[in-house]
Amino acid sequence: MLNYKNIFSSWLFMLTLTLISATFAESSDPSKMAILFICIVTIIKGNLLIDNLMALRHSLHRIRWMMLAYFYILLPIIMLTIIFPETTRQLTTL
Amino acid sequence: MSNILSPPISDLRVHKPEQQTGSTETKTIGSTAVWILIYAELTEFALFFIVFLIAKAHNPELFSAGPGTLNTTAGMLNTLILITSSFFVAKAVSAIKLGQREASIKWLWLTLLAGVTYCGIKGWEYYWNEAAGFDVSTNLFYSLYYYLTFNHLLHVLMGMCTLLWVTLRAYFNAYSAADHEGLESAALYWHMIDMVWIIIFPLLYIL
Repeated sequence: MLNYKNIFSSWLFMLTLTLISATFAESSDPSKMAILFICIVTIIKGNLLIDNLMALRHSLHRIRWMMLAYFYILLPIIMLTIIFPETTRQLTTL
Repeated sequence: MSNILSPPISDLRVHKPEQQTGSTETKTIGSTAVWILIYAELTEFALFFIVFLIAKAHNPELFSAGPGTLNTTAGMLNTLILITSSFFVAKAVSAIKLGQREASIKWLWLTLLAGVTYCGIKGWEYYWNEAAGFDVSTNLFYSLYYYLTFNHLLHVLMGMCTLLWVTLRAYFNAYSAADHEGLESAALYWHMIDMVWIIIFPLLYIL
């Protein structure tokens, strides 16, 4: 069942996280810590969306985890490929 | 064996007795078809993200200069609007679950309004790029930027058509507190569009 308080607080928290992330856009070359921070913020936003707005927190676990995995797998991949571009280049050069 | 350990994918409507109260709670989470569609769309976007990351690794200077030339304000505003639209559609689902059809229709119209605003801002962003001398053929960064964002825009338009359809059906009493699978499926699809944008925004505009 959807929890109205959770929906509202999640929405506000996600807006706040977006505004915080946007401040990093001023930097043309974000540091490794900034990249890590932005990826963690994105994972938190994804978690809030899936659990509270989509209301999957108490739904079938398989469905919920498949959605969460999108963020838990993709964001670390994004973070690692940006932090280690040389390794990514070597791995993807034919 | 696997059927004993886990329910089939088609059985997405779960009826679980609550241990404490002994009452039965129905957990409807949309139709099977919409989940297949959502996973297919997410996979498609994940492949785009991987292509973008590989191109970024091979063209570091081009891709590190790229975000600085984009209209970050437009990207941020669209993020705020899509998150707000997810809030609106979640409220629409809540309202119909409580049998408040009028309130649900109101929230659905607000979601559609947010979708129209998103499209307007995206149009302004493309116009702003054009005025600054950037288009799809400028360089590899811009080609991938247009490919990702225009593809996402098409999904927003498709989501809006779906939401308009369920809004009209809600208006003609097609949904109730007991039966609202169509509305919930449309809402899940809309949330998926928001999910993808949550990743596109930092990937293109910030990192």
